[in-house]
Amino acid sequence: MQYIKVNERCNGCGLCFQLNMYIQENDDGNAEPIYGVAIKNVDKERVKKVVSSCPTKALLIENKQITTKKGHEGIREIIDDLNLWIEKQSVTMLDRGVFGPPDKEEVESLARSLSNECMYRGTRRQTSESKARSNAKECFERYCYSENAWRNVVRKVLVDYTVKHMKPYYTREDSNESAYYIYNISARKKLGETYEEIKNILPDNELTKEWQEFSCYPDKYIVQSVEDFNFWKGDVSVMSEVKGWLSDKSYYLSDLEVDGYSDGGFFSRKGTYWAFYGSGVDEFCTDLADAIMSLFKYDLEPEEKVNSLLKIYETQFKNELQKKAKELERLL
Amino acid sequence: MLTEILVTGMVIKGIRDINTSCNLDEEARQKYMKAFKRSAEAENALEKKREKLEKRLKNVIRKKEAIIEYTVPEFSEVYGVIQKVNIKNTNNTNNNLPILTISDIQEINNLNSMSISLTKGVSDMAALGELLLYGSGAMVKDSERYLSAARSQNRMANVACEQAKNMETVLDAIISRADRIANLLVGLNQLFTLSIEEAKRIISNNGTDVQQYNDYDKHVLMTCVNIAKAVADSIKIPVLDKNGKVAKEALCMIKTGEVYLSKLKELNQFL
Repeated sequence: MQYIKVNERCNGCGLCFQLNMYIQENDDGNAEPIYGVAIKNVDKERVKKVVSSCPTKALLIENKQITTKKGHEGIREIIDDLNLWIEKQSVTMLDRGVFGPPDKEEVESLARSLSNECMYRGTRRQTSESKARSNAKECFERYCYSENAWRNVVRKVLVDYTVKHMKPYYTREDSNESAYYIYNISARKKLGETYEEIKNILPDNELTKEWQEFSCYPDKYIVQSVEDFNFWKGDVSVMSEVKGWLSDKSYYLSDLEVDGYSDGGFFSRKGTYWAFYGSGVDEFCTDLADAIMSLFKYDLEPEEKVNSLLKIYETQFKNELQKKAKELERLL
Repeated sequence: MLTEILVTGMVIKGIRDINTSCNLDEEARQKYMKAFKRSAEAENALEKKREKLEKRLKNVIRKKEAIIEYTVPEFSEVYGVIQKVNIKNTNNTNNNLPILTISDIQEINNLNSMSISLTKGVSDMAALGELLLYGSGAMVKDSERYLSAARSQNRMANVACEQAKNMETVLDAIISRADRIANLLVGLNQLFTLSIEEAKRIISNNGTDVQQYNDYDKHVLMTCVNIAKAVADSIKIPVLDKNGKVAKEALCMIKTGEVYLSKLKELNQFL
């Protein structure tokens, strides 16, 4: 059986796209063979002409034959070859740390967003020094230090991280957006070649074209654990991890100062006063950002989560292929 | 007794309040998570669309480069001989094909000189600069200009998603335009290549003596030159204008090119 192969020299000129039953254009504009489709005898001359006129010599005609035997012996060999191929299939596991940490600048920017409200409200002018001080402390507590203030920052980072890195692993569409797409393509290529070979040996066999169709994606409930990665440790557990990294509130307020002036005379208690946080608020934001970054360094293991899913998928993938191989036994 | 009932009632109310508060907290948490996820997915989709746009714009440049690097030098060899043969344009060859003018010939010569500069190993940026004159180099930069992207802090996830969708629509329009131009270039390049081959065959049979050329032979040579003109015009078609917007005037050029291509395909039997 002969198949078209395209090497890395392809410059995407498109001259070979006229062979649209054997060649298609990929997203980069390069030619790629339609996998598993053998060149028909009637097309061989035309294909040879197009291949030889490729300006960069990127096209090749590849000979592939699983068996030279005929009849049932040939079918037996084809089935054995398919089973051997299935045995060798494996899903690539992820190395620890391959996703990397979240973008530090983005995390810091999110953490600093808390300080805006705090600075705005906490430094408002008050009528007395004590009011200015207590307002500043209260605003720091409410808009920065309390869990209610920063937990959405943590959640946002987790959700963004999940979508950015783990989306291919919970995407179940048949497209290159999914991490499982390459395995499906590989299976379709092999099944296509097997089908062509069988048709060549036994043209009138009962195997239909649908046999070579293949689509294997994990079930929704299986990928849910990866999709909900941001929940995996539980919201409470994640928040307490972050909290553990933050210093005591008094530490961040140690630089707090109040300035202002009195309105009236010696006995007057009224005036205009405002607070300065010093470096306390900025330090808190930095600590929060560091705490979130450390979650990914020490606590969360997203690659492990994905690997457990990939192991399940590998078993499922092989089972589906073995079903295909079993169907071929009927031909014997 | 009454005290006990009151205390029990208060405890139950307290537990209920805590429960309601927890439920509300949970509801709020889920709402936030959904909003964050929607927004993150919208950003992600927009990022993917941007990547696709860059690929498709680069694809147009590659199609143009392929014509200039490979097909035009082949044509230059043939054109030199065609000029020696000195075939005059006649109206009865094919009325639907454009007649070459001096400026057309200059444009083809420009294509040729561009191909020479490329084969001399001009840097990528210089080559891109050349293509900029033909409207294609601005595309890659302009795709970045079109990135407004939802960078908001997700307080208004719906707004962010809506903005992202609108931006995706814009990018889709550019991608569609780029693909249309790329397909036109591929079609013209295929016919151009066939036409050059046929012209070479005829020239090798007949030499430079115009007397040796019958009507069919002349028709083939003229068609080859006319396709060259169409290719030179099509390479000029920009995807985006200077302001980074889809070039409206280019639509007319694309349609003209497509009509010409379909007519050429019908005439292909004569090549």
